Amino acid sequence: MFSSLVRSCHQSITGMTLSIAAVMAGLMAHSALAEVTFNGFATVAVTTHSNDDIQYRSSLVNRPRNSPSLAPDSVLGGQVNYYINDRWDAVAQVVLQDRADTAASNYLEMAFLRYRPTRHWSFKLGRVNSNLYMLSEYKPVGYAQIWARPPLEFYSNASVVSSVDGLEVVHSQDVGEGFLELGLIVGQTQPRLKGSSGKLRANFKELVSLSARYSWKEWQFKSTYASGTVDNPQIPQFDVFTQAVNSVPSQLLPQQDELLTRFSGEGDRIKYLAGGVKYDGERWNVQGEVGSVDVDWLLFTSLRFGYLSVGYYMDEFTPFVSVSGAQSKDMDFRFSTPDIPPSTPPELAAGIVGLIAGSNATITDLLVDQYSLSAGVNWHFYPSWVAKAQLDHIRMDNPGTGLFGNNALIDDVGEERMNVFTLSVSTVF
Amino acid sequence: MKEVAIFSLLTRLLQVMVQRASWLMVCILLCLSSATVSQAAQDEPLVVVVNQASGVDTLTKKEVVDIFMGRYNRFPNGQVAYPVDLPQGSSGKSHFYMQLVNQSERKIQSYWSRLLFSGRAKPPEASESLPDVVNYVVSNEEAIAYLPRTLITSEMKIVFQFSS
Repeated sequence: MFSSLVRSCHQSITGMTLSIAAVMAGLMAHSALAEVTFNGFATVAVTTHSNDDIQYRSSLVNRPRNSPSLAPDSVLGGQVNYYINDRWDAVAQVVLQDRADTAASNYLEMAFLRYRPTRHWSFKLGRVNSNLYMLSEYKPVGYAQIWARPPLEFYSNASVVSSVDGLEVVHSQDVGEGFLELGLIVGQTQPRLKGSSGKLRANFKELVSLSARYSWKEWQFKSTYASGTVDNPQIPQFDVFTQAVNSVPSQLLPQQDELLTRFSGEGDRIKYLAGGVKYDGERWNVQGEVGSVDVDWLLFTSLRFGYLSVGYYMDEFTPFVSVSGAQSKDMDFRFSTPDIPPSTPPELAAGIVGLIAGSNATITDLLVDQYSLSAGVNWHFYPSWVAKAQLDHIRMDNPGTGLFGNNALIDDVGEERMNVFTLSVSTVF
Repeated sequence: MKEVAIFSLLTRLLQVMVQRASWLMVCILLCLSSATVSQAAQDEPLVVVVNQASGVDTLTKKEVVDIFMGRYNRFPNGQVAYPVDLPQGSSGKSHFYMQLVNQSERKIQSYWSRLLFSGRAKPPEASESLPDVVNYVVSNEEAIAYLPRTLITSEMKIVFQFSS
Protein backbone atom coordinates (compact mmCIF):
# COMPACT_ATOMS: atom_id res chain seq x y z
CA MET A 1 0.00 0.00 0.00
CA PHE A 2 2.81 2.41 0.95
CA SER A 3 4.72 1.78 -2.24
CA SER A 4 1.66 2.51 -4.37
CA LEU A 5 1.15 5.78 -2.52
CA VAL A 6 4.76 6.76 -3.07
CA ARG A 7 4.42 5.90 -6.75
CA SER A 8 1.27 8.00 -7.08
CA CYS A 9 3.03 10.90 -5.38
CA HIS A 10 5.98 10.59 -7.75
CA GLN A 11 3.59 10.43 -10.68
CA SER A 12 1.76 13.60 -9.63
CA ILE A 13 5.05 15.52 -9.23
CA THR A 14 6.41 14.16 -12.49
CA GLY A 15 3.12 15.00 -14.21
CA MET A 16 3.23 18.55 -12.93
CA THR A 17 6.86 18.98 -13.97
CA LEU A 18 6.09 17.69 -17.45
CA SER A 19 3.13 20.06 -17.72
CA ILE A 20 5.35 22.97 -16.75
CA ALA A 21 7.93 21.89 -19.33
CA ALA A 22 5.23 21.72 -22.01
CA VAL A 23 3.95 25.22 -21.17
CA MET A 24 7.52 26.53 -21.20
CA ALA A 25 8.17 24.99 -24.59
CA GLY A 26 5.00 26.56 -25.96
CA LEU A 27 5.87 29.99 -24.63
CA MET A 28 9.44 29.66 -25.88
CA ALA A 29 8.17 29.10 -29.40
CA HIS A 30 6.40 32.46 -29.27
CA SER A 31 9.13 34.44 -27.63
CA ALA A 32 12.10 36.19 -29.15
CA LEU A 33 13.32 37.38 -25.75
CA ALA A 34 13.92 33.97 -24.19
CA GLU A 35 17.12 33.86 -22.19
CA VAL A 36 18.65 31.11 -20.12
CA THR A 37 21.14 31.77 -17.35
CA PHE A 38 22.97 29.38 -15.08
CA ASN A 39 24.29 30.27 -11.65
CA GLY A 40 25.60 28.25 -8.79
CA PHE A 41 26.88 28.27 -5.26
CA ALA A 42 29.21 26.05 -3.31
CA THR A 43 30.55 25.57 0.16
CA VAL A 44 33.42 23.32 1.14
CA ALA A 45 33.50 22.87 4.89
CA VAL A 46 35.27 20.62 7.32
CA THR A 47 33.42 20.04 10.57
CA THR A 48 34.82 18.45 13.68
CA HIS A 49 33.06 17.76 16.95
CA SER A 50 34.23 16.72 20.37
CA ASN A 51 31.69 14.12 21.53
CA ASP A 52 32.21 10.52 20.42
CA ASP A 53 28.73 9.48 21.56
CA ILE A 54 27.04 11.95 19.23
CA GLN A 55 26.88 11.91 15.45
CA TYR A 56 26.68 15.44 14.10
CA ARG A 57 24.35 16.62 11.33
CA SER A 58 23.50 20.16 10.29
CA SER A 59 19.91 19.31 9.39
CA LEU A 60 17.32 16.73 10.39
CA VAL A 61 17.12 15.44 6.83
CA ASN A 62 20.89 14.91 6.64
CA ARG A 63 22.95 11.90 7.57
CA PRO A 64 24.51 11.83 11.06
CA ARG A 65 28.32 11.83 10.78
CA ASN A 66 31.30 11.06 12.92
CA SER A 67 34.10 13.61 13.29
CA PRO A 68 35.84 15.03 11.33
CA SER A 69 33.91 15.16 8.10
CA LEU A 70 33.58 17.21 4.94
CA ALA A 71 30.02 16.06 4.40
CA PRO A 72 27.71 17.77 6.91
CA ASP A 73 28.22 21.39 5.86
CA SER A 74 29.48 21.12 2.29
CA VAL A 75 27.01 22.03 -0.45
CA LEU A 76 26.94 22.37 -4.22
CA GLY A 77 23.99 24.08 -5.86
CA GLY A 78 23.04 24.94 -9.42
CA GLN A 79 20.19 27.08 -10.66
CA VAL A 80 18.77 27.62 -14.12
CA ASN A 81 16.70 30.73 -14.75
CA TYR A 82 14.73 30.72 -17.94
CA TYR A 83 13.36 34.15 -18.86
CA ILE A 84 10.64 33.57 -21.41
CA ASN A 85 9.36 37.12 -21.61
CA ASP A 86 8.69 40.00 -19.26
CA ARG A 87 5.74 38.19 -17.68
CA TRP A 88 6.80 34.54 -17.70
CA ASP A 89 9.90 32.86 -16.37
CA ALA A 90 10.91 29.55 -14.84
CA VAL A 91 13.46 28.58 -12.21
CA ALA A 92 14.92 25.20 -11.29
CA GLN A 93 17.45 24.64 -8.52
CA VAL A 94 19.24 21.46 -7.53
CA VAL A 95 21.29 21.33 -4.33
CA LEU A 96 23.64 18.45 -3.61
CA GLN A 97 24.05 18.01 0.11
CA ASP A 98 24.45 15.24 2.64
CA ARG A 99 20.89 13.90 2.55
CA ALA A 100 20.20 10.70 4.50
CA ASP A 101 17.48 9.66 2.08
CA THR A 102 19.08 9.96 -1.34
CA ALA A 103 15.84 10.07 -3.34
CA ALA A 104 16.18 12.55 -6.23
CA SER A 105 13.33 14.61 -4.83
CA ASN A 106 15.44 15.40 -1.77
CA TYR A 107 17.85 17.38 -3.95
CA LEU A 108 15.35 19.39 -6.01
CA GLU A 109 14.84 22.61 -4.09
CA MET A 110 12.84 24.56 -6.68
CA ALA A 111 11.22 23.96 -10.06
CA PHE A 112 8.51 26.42 -10.85
CA LEU A 113 6.92 28.42 -13.61
CA ARG A 114 6.16 32.03 -12.71
CA TYR A 115 3.66 34.48 -14.15
CA ARG A 116 3.85 38.16 -13.25
CA PRO A 117 0.80 39.83 -14.81
CA THR A 118 1.32 43.18 -13.10
CA ARG A 119 3.86 45.02 -11.02
CA HIS A 120 2.24 43.84 -7.80
CA TRP A 121 1.25 40.22 -8.41
CA SER A 122 3.24 37.06 -8.93
CA PHE A 123 2.05 33.45 -9.34
CA LYS A 124 4.33 30.43 -9.12
CA LEU A 125 3.34 26.89 -9.99
CA GLY A 126 5.50 23.86 -9.29
CA ARG A 127 7.98 23.21 -6.50
CA VAL A 128 8.37 26.45 -4.55
CA ASN A 129 10.29 27.26 -1.42
CA SER A 130 8.16 26.84 1.70
CA ASN A 131 9.33 30.30 2.78
CA LEU A 132 8.47 29.54 6.41
CA TYR A 133 11.40 31.40 7.96
CA MET A 134 13.64 34.37 7.22
CA LEU A 135 16.47 32.30 5.73
CA SER A 136 14.34 29.53 4.23
CA GLU A 137 14.70 30.71 0.67
CA TYR A 138 18.50 30.72 0.59
CA LYS A 139 19.41 28.44 3.49
CA PRO A 140 22.00 26.38 1.52
CA VAL A 141 23.77 29.47 0.10
CA GLY A 142 26.73 29.87 2.46
CA TYR A 143 27.99 32.98 0.70
CA ALA A 144 24.78 34.84 1.57
CA GLN A 145 25.07 34.33 5.33
CA ILE A 146 27.51 35.47 7.94
CA TRP A 147 27.56 32.12 9.80
CA ALA A 148 29.07 28.78 8.75
CA ARG A 149 25.46 27.53 8.75
CA PRO A 150 22.12 29.04 9.74
CA PRO A 151 21.50 28.65 13.51
CA LEU A 152 21.19 24.90 13.86
CA GLU A 153 18.54 24.70 16.58
CA PHE A 154 16.23 26.75 14.36
CA TYR A 155 16.98 25.58 10.84
CA SER A 156 17.72 21.88 11.37
CA ASN A 157 14.06 21.26 12.02
CA ALA A 158 12.98 23.78 9.38
CA SER A 159 14.65 21.73 6.66
CA VAL A 160 11.94 19.06 6.98
CA VAL A 161 9.54 21.31 5.10
CA SER A 162 11.89 23.24 2.84
CA SER A 163 9.74 23.13 -0.30
CA VAL A 164 6.12 22.72 -1.31
CA ASP A 165 4.64 21.30 -4.51
CA GLY A 166 1.79 23.62 -5.35
CA LEU A 167 0.85 27.21 -6.05
CA GLU A 168 2.31 30.37 -4.56
CA VAL A 169 0.68 33.78 -4.88
CA VAL A 170 2.62 36.87 -3.84
CA HIS A 171 1.29 40.40 -3.61
CA SER A 172 3.82 43.22 -3.21
CA GLN A 173 3.09 46.82 -2.46
CA ASP A 174 4.58 49.93 -0.91
CA VAL A 175 3.39 50.69 2.57
CA GLY A 176 4.63 53.96 3.95
CA GLU A 177 8.35 54.19 3.31
CA GLY A 178 8.65 50.41 3.26
CA PHE A 179 7.85 47.42 1.09
CA LEU A 180 5.33 44.75 2.01
CA GLU A 181 5.06 41.25 0.55
CA LEU A 182 2.13 39.02 1.36
CA GLY A 183 2.41 35.38 0.34
CA LEU A 184 0.01 32.46 0.15
CA ILE A 185 1.16 28.92 -0.63
CA VAL A 186 -1.17 25.95 -1.08
CA GLY A 187 0.03 22.47 -1.88
CA GLN A 188 1.72 19.49 -0.31
CA THR A 189 5.17 18.29 0.58
CA GLN A 190 6.76 14.97 1.38
CA PRO A 191 9.48 15.12 4.03
CA ARG A 192 12.02 12.34 3.51
CA LEU A 193 14.09 11.40 6.52
CA LYS A 194 16.15 8.36 7.26
CA GLY A 195 17.41 6.97 10.54
CA SER A 196 19.24 3.85 11.56
CA SER A 197 16.00 1.84 11.44
CA GLY A 198 15.02 2.94 7.94
CA LYS A 199 13.25 5.65 5.98
CA LEU A 200 10.60 7.87 7.47
CA ARG A 201 8.32 9.58 4.99
CA ALA A 202 4.96 11.28 5.14
CA ASN A 203 2.86 13.54 3.01
CA PHE A 204 1.95 16.87 4.54
CA LYS A 205 -1.15 17.51 2.47
CA GLU A 206 -3.59 20.42 2.43
CA LEU A 207 -0.62 22.59 3.30
CA VAL A 208 -1.50 26.27 3.52
CA SER A 209 1.06 28.92 4.37
CA LEU A 210 0.46 32.62 4.92
CA SER A 211 3.43 34.94 5.23
CA ALA A 212 4.11 38.65 5.51
CA ARG A 213 7.45 40.35 5.04
CA TYR A 214 7.98 44.06 5.56
CA SER A 215 11.23 45.80 4.62
CA TRP A 216 11.94 49.31 5.78
CA LYS A 217 15.40 50.81 5.32
CA GLU A 218 17.82 48.52 7.19
CA TRP A 219 15.01 46.64 8.90
CA GLN A 220 13.11 43.54 7.90
CA PHE A 221 10.20 41.90 9.69
CA LYS A 222 8.71 38.54 8.84
CA SER A 223 5.95 36.35 10.18
CA THR A 224 4.48 33.09 8.91
CA TYR A 225 1.66 30.77 9.78
CA ALA A 226 1.31 27.39 8.10
CA SER A 227 -0.71 24.27 8.65
CA GLY A 228 -1.09 20.89 7.01
CA THR A 229 -2.28 17.36 7.59
CA VAL A 230 -0.09 14.28 8.00
CA ASP A 231 -1.10 11.77 5.38
CA ASN A 232 0.00 8.17 4.78
CA PRO A 233 3.18 8.21 6.85
CA GLN A 234 5.72 5.52 6.08
CA ILE A 235 7.35 4.49 9.32
CA PRO A 236 10.07 1.85 9.43
CA GLN A 237 8.87 -1.36 11.07
CA PHE A 238 5.53 0.22 11.97
CA ASP A 239 3.69 -2.87 10.73
CA VAL A 240 5.70 -5.00 13.19
CA PHE A 241 4.86 -2.55 15.98
CA THR A 242 1.16 -2.56 15.03
CA GLN A 243 1.12 -6.32 14.99
CA ALA A 244 2.74 -6.46 18.43
CA VAL A 245 0.29 -3.94 19.91
CA ASN A 246 -2.72 -5.69 18.41
CA SER A 247 -1.56 -9.08 19.67
CA VAL A 248 -2.09 -7.92 23.26
CA PRO A 249 -5.67 -8.22 24.54
CA SER A 250 -7.09 -4.72 24.97
CA GLN A 251 -8.01 -5.33 28.62
CA LEU A 252 -4.30 -5.85 29.33
CA LEU A 253 -3.25 -2.81 27.29
CA PRO A 254 -5.89 -0.07 27.67
CA GLN A 255 -3.74 2.48 25.79
CA GLN A 256 -3.62 0.24 22.71
CA ASP A 257 -5.42 2.76 20.48
CA GLU A 258 -3.45 5.70 21.82
CA LEU A 259 -0.16 3.90 21.15
CA LEU A 260 -1.07 3.27 17.53
CA THR A 261 -2.64 6.67 16.93
CA ARG A 262 0.13 8.74 18.49
CA PHE A 263 2.89 6.87 16.66
CA SER A 264 1.06 6.59 13.35
CA GLY A 265 0.48 10.33 12.90
CA GLU A 266 -2.18 9.67 10.27
CA GLY A 267 -4.52 12.65 9.94
CA ASP A 268 -2.73 14.77 12.56
CA ARG A 269 -2.75 18.52 11.98
CA ILE A 270 0.67 20.18 11.97
CA LYS A 271 0.94 23.91 12.62
CA TYR A 272 3.88 26.27 12.16
CA LEU A 273 4.14 29.76 13.57
CA ALA A 274 7.21 31.95 13.26
CA GLY A 275 8.30 35.55 13.49
CA GLY A 276 11.61 37.28 12.92
CA VAL A 277 13.36 40.65 12.85
CA LYS A 278 16.55 41.62 11.07
CA TYR A 279 18.60 44.79 11.17
CA ASP A 280 21.37 45.01 8.58
CA GLY A 281 23.04 48.38 8.96
CA GLU A 282 26.31 49.89 7.89
CA ARG A 283 28.16 48.30 10.84
CA TRP A 284 25.80 45.97 12.69
CA ASN A 285 23.94 42.87 11.61
CA VAL A 286 21.42 41.79 14.22
CA GLN A 287 18.72 39.23 13.67
CA GLY A 288 16.53 36.91 15.61
CA GLU A 289 13.62 34.56 15.08
CA VAL A 290 11.28 32.53 17.21
CA GLY A 291 9.21 29.62 15.95
CA SER A 292 6.90 26.91 17.04
CA VAL A 293 5.65 23.59 15.62
CA ASP A 294 2.59 21.87 17.02
CA VAL A 295 1.59 18.34 16.16
CA ASP A 296 0.31 15.33 18.10
CA TRP A 297 2.51 12.92 16.15
CA LEU A 298 5.11 11.52 18.54
CA LEU A 299 7.67 10.90 15.78
CA PHE A 300 7.73 14.59 14.86
CA THR A 301 7.90 16.24 18.22
CA SER A 302 6.23 19.60 18.90
CA LEU A 303 8.95 22.18 19.32
CA ARG A 304 9.64 25.76 20.24
CA PHE A 305 12.85 27.25 18.94
CA GLY A 306 14.63 30.56 18.45
CA TYR A 307 17.94 32.36 17.99
CA LEU A 308 19.58 35.74 18.28
CA SER A 309 22.67 36.68 16.30
CA VAL A 310 24.87 39.78 16.31
CA GLY A 311 27.54 40.54 13.71
CA TYR A 312 29.80 43.57 13.25
CA TYR A 313 31.11 44.58 9.82
CA MET A 314 34.80 45.52 9.87
CA ASP A 315 35.69 46.01 6.20
CA GLU A 316 36.11 42.50 4.81
CA PHE A 317 35.80 40.83 8.25
CA THR A 318 32.58 40.20 10.14
CA PRO A 319 32.95 38.68 13.60
CA PHE A 320 29.70 37.33 15.01
CA VAL A 321 28.15 35.64 18.03
CA SER A 322 24.84 33.88 18.33
CA VAL A 323 22.74 31.96 20.79
CA SER A 324 20.05 29.50 19.74
CA GLY A 325 17.88 26.88 21.32
CA ALA A 326 15.21 24.27 20.65
CA GLN A 327 13.06 22.45 23.13
CA SER A 328 10.29 19.89 22.81
CA LYS A 329 7.04 21.29 24.13
CA ASP A 330 6.08 18.20 26.08
CA MET A 331 9.11 16.74 27.77
CA ASP A 332 7.15 14.63 30.22
CA PHE A 333 4.76 12.57 28.17
CA ARG A 334 5.40 8.83 28.41
CA PHE A 335 3.14 5.81 28.27
CA SER A 336 2.57 4.26 31.67
CA THR A 337 2.91 0.52 32.12
CA PRO A 338 -0.56 -0.95 32.72
CA ASP A 339 -1.43 -2.99 35.77
CA ILE A 340 -0.84 -6.55 34.69
CA PRO A 341 -2.87 -9.21 36.54
CA PRO A 342 -0.71 -11.89 38.23
CA SER A 343 -2.51 -14.53 36.22
CA THR A 344 -1.03 -13.15 32.97
CA PRO A 345 1.41 -15.56 31.33
CA PRO A 346 4.96 -14.36 32.09
CA GLU A 347 5.93 -14.12 28.37
CA LEU A 348 2.93 -11.88 27.65
CA ALA A 349 3.57 -9.73 30.73
CA ALA A 350 7.22 -9.29 29.69
CA GLY A 351 6.05 -8.45 26.16
CA ILE A 352 3.72 -5.70 27.42
CA VAL A 353 6.42 -4.22 29.62
CA GLY A 354 8.89 -4.35 26.73
CA LEU A 355 6.41 -2.74 24.36
CA ILE A 356 5.80 0.20 26.68
CA ALA A 357 9.51 0.53 27.48
CA GLY A 358 10.44 0.50 23.78
CA SER A 359 7.76 3.07 22.98
CA ASN A 360 8.98 5.36 25.74
CA ALA A 361 12.60 4.93 24.65
CA THR A 362 11.61 6.03 21.14
CA ILE A 363 9.83 9.09 22.54
CA THR A 364 12.85 9.91 24.68
CA ASP A 365 15.26 9.57 21.78
CA LEU A 366 13.27 12.05 19.69
CA LEU A 367 12.96 14.73 22.35
CA VAL A 368 14.98 17.89 21.90
CA ASP A 369 16.36 20.08 24.64
CA GLN A 370 19.33 21.75 23.08
CA TYR A 371 21.11 25.11 23.18
CA SER A 372 24.11 26.53 21.32
CA LEU A 373 26.50 29.38 21.89
CA SER A 374 28.38 30.22 18.71
CA ALA A 375 31.16 32.61 17.78
CA GLY A 376 33.05 33.03 14.57
CA VAL A 377 34.36 35.27 11.86
CA ASN A 378 33.42 35.71 8.24
CA TRP A 379 36.20 36.88 5.91
CA HIS A 380 35.12 38.25 2.52
CA PHE A 381 38.58 37.74 1.06
CA TYR A 382 37.79 38.09 -2.63
CA PRO A 383 34.73 39.17 -4.65
CA SER A 384 32.27 36.27 -4.59
CA TRP A 385 34.33 34.33 -2.04
CA VAL A 386 34.06 34.13 1.74
CA ALA A 387 35.89 32.04 4.30
CA LYS A 388 34.45 31.34 7.73
CA ALA A 389 35.58 29.89 11.01
CA GLN A 390 32.99 29.06 13.64
CA LEU A 391 32.99 27.42 17.05
CA ASP A 392 29.75 26.17 18.58
CA HIS A 393 29.36 25.02 22.13
CA ILE A 394 26.27 22.81 22.17
CA ARG A 395 24.53 21.73 25.33
CA MET A 396 22.05 18.84 25.12
CA ASP A 397 20.16 18.48 28.33
CA ASN A 398 18.78 15.16 29.39
CA PRO A 399 17.10 13.22 27.82
CA GLY A 400 17.16 13.41 24.02
CA THR A 401 19.50 13.96 21.11
CA GLY A 402 16.74 14.58 18.60
CA LEU A 403 18.59 16.99 16.33
CA PHE A 404 21.64 14.72 16.10
CA GLY A 405 22.29 11.02 15.89
CA ASN A 406 23.81 8.99 18.67
CA ASN A 407 26.39 6.25 18.70
CA ALA A 408 25.52 5.06 22.19
CA LEU A 409 22.52 2.99 23.20
CA ILE A 410 19.43 5.08 23.86
CA ASP A 411 19.51 4.18 27.55
CA ASP A 412 23.01 5.60 27.82
CA VAL A 413 22.14 9.00 26.39
CA GLY A 414 22.03 11.60 29.09
CA GLU A 415 23.21 15.13 29.49
CA GLU A 416 25.73 15.82 26.76
CA ARG A 417 28.08 18.64 25.82
CA MET A 418 29.70 19.06 22.45
CA ASN A 419 31.96 21.57 20.75
CA VAL A 420 31.72 21.84 17.00
CA PHE A 421 34.39 23.61 14.96
CA THR A 422 33.84 24.43 11.31
CA LEU A 423 36.14 25.90 8.68
CA SER A 424 34.50 26.71 5.38
CA VAL A 425 34.94 28.47 2.06
CA SER A 426 31.88 29.56 0.10
CA THR A 427 31.42 31.06 -3.31
CA VAL A 428 28.78 31.99 -5.85
CA PHE A 429 29.22 31.79 -9.57
CA MET B 1 88.53 61.73 -36.63
CA LYS B 2 88.08 58.78 -34.35
CA GLU B 3 86.85 61.03 -31.53
CA VAL B 4 84.40 62.78 -33.91
CA ALA B 5 83.04 59.41 -35.07
CA ILE B 6 82.56 58.25 -31.53
CA PHE B 7 80.88 61.52 -30.60
CA SER B 8 78.60 61.22 -33.66
CA LEU B 9 77.69 57.65 -32.74
CA LEU B 10 76.92 58.64 -29.17
CA THR B 11 74.77 61.56 -30.36
CA ARG B 12 72.80 59.26 -32.67
CA LEU B 13 72.35 56.73 -29.91
CA LEU B 14 71.11 59.44 -27.59
CA GLN B 15 68.64 60.66 -30.24
CA VAL B 16 67.23 57.15 -30.70
CA MET B 17 66.92 56.74 -26.95
CA VAL B 18 65.18 60.09 -26.61
CA GLN B 19 62.81 59.17 -29.48
CA ARG B 20 62.00 55.81 -27.93
CA ALA B 21 61.65 57.39 -24.53
CA SER B 22 59.31 59.97 -26.03
CA TRP B 23 57.11 57.27 -27.48
CA LEU B 24 57.14 55.49 -24.18
CA MET B 25 56.29 58.73 -22.41
CA VAL B 26 53.49 59.41 -24.87
CA CYS B 27 52.11 55.92 -24.32
CA ILE B 28 52.29 56.30 -20.55
CA LEU B 29 50.69 59.74 -20.72
CA LEU B 30 47.91 58.45 -22.97
CA CYS B 31 47.18 55.59 -20.61
CA LEU B 32 47.27 57.85 -17.61
CA SER B 33 45.03 60.46 -19.21
CA SER B 34 42.58 57.79 -20.34
CA ALA B 35 42.45 56.33 -16.86
CA THR B 36 42.14 59.79 -15.37
CA VAL B 37 39.26 60.69 -17.72
CA SER B 38 37.52 57.39 -16.89
CA GLN B 39 38.10 57.89 -13.17
CA ALA B 40 36.99 61.50 -13.39
CA ALA B 41 33.83 60.45 -15.21
CA GLN B 42 33.07 57.88 -12.54
CA ASP B 43 33.74 60.33 -9.74
CA GLU B 44 31.28 62.88 -11.09
CA PRO B 45 27.82 63.15 -9.56
CA LEU B 46 25.67 60.27 -10.76
CA VAL B 47 22.21 60.61 -12.23
CA VAL B 48 19.67 57.92 -12.99
CA VAL B 49 18.69 57.78 -16.66
CA VAL B 50 16.35 55.97 -19.03
CA ASN B 51 16.05 55.84 -22.77
CA GLN B 52 14.61 59.02 -24.31
CA ALA B 53 11.69 57.00 -25.73
CA SER B 54 10.76 55.58 -22.33
CA GLY B 55 7.35 56.44 -20.92
CA VAL B 56 9.00 57.17 -17.57
CA ASP B 57 9.83 60.84 -16.92
CA THR B 58 10.66 60.96 -13.26
CA LEU B 59 11.24 58.59 -10.35
CA THR B 60 11.52 59.04 -6.61
CA LYS B 61 14.50 57.65 -4.71
CA LYS B 62 12.30 54.87 -3.34
CA GLU B 63 11.20 53.91 -6.85
CA VAL B 64 14.85 53.72 -7.91
CA VAL B 65 15.56 51.54 -4.85
CA ASP B 66 12.62 49.31 -5.76
CA ILE B 67 14.06 48.59 -9.20
CA PHE B 68 17.78 48.34 -8.41
CA MET B 69 17.14 46.20 -5.32
CA GLY B 70 14.90 43.77 -7.20
CA ARG B 71 11.62 44.54 -5.43
CA TYR B 72 9.78 45.28 -8.67
CA ASN B 73 10.65 44.36 -12.24
CA ARG B 74 8.46 47.15 -13.62
CA PHE B 75 8.36 50.93 -13.42
CA PRO B 76 5.44 52.51 -11.54
CA ASN B 77 3.65 53.02 -14.88
CA GLY B 78 3.74 49.24 -15.51
CA GLN B 79 6.47 49.34 -18.15
CA VAL B 80 9.07 46.59 -17.70
CA ALA B 81 12.44 47.77 -16.35
CA TYR B 82 15.87 46.40 -17.26
CA PRO B 83 18.40 47.90 -14.84
CA VAL B 84 22.11 47.83 -15.65
CA ASP B 85 25.05 48.24 -13.27
CA LEU B 86 28.41 49.95 -13.76
CA PRO B 87 31.33 47.49 -13.80
CA GLN B 88 31.98 45.46 -10.68
CA GLY B 89 34.55 47.13 -8.45
CA SER B 90 34.18 50.54 -10.08
CA SER B 91 34.03 53.57 -7.83
CA GLY B 92 30.82 54.64 -9.62
CA LYS B 93 29.00 51.45 -8.64
CA SER B 94 30.06 51.55 -4.99
CA HIS B 95 29.28 55.28 -4.84
CA PHE B 96 25.80 54.70 -6.31
CA TYR B 97 24.79 51.99 -3.84
CA MET B 98 26.18 53.91 -0.88
CA GLN B 99 24.06 56.89 -1.93
CA LEU B 100 21.02 54.77 -2.72
CA VAL B 101 20.80 52.32 0.19
CA ASN B 102 23.90 53.05 2.29
CA GLN B 103 25.35 49.59 1.54
CA SER B 104 28.82 48.62 0.36
CA GLU B 105 29.25 46.76 -2.93
CA ARG B 106 30.25 43.66 -0.95
CA LYS B 107 26.93 43.68 0.89
CA ILE B 108 25.03 44.40 -2.29
CA GLN B 109 26.61 41.31 -3.86
CA SER B 110 25.59 39.23 -0.87
CA TYR B 111 22.09 40.70 -1.02
CA TRP B 112 21.76 39.74 -4.67
CA SER B 113 22.96 36.21 -4.04
CA ARG B 114 20.05 35.91 -1.60
CA LEU B 115 17.52 37.19 -4.12
CA LEU B 116 18.89 35.23 -7.05
CA PHE B 117 19.08 31.87 -5.29
CA SER B 118 15.70 32.30 -3.68
CA GLY B 119 14.33 32.58 -7.21
CA ARG B 120 12.89 36.00 -6.51
CA ALA B 121 14.72 38.22 -8.98
CA LYS B 122 17.79 38.49 -11.13
CA PRO B 123 20.41 41.17 -10.50
CA PRO B 124 20.87 44.19 -12.78
CA GLU B 125 22.64 43.49 -16.05
CA ALA B 126 26.41 43.53 -15.53
CA SER B 127 28.48 45.83 -17.74
CA GLU B 128 32.15 45.91 -18.69
CA SER B 129 32.61 49.67 -19.01
CA LEU B 130 30.93 53.06 -19.02
CA PRO B 131 30.46 53.01 -22.83
CA ASP B 132 28.72 49.63 -22.39
CA VAL B 133 26.19 51.21 -20.07
CA VAL B 134 25.67 54.15 -22.43
CA ASN B 135 25.08 51.79 -25.35
CA TYR B 136 22.70 49.65 -23.29
CA VAL B 137 20.54 52.66 -22.40
CA VAL B 138 20.62 54.14 -25.89
CA SER B 139 19.65 50.88 -27.56
CA ASN B 140 17.07 49.65 -25.03
CA GLU B 141 13.77 51.42 -24.43
CA GLU B 142 13.21 49.63 -21.09
CA ALA B 143 16.71 50.25 -19.71
CA ILE B 144 17.49 52.17 -16.57
CA ALA B 145 21.02 53.04 -15.48
CA TYR B 146 23.10 55.42 -13.42
CA LEU B 147 25.80 57.45 -15.13
CA PRO B 148 28.02 60.50 -14.60
CA ARG B 149 26.10 63.55 -15.76
CA THR B 150 28.75 64.40 -18.41
CA LEU B 151 28.01 61.18 -20.28
CA ILE B 152 24.32 61.89 -20.72
CA THR B 153 23.37 62.24 -24.37
CA SER B 154 20.26 63.50 -26.13
CA GLU B 155 19.14 59.86 -26.47
CA MET B 156 18.64 59.60 -22.70
CA LYS B 157 16.67 61.44 -20.09
CA ILE B 158 17.40 61.95 -16.43
CA VAL B 159 14.67 60.54 -14.17
CA PHE B 160 16.36 60.95 -10.81
CA GLN B 161 19.32 62.74 -9.30
CA PHE B 162 20.64 62.59 -5.78
CA SER B 163 20.32 65.76 -3.78
CA SER B 164 23.71 67.10 -2.77
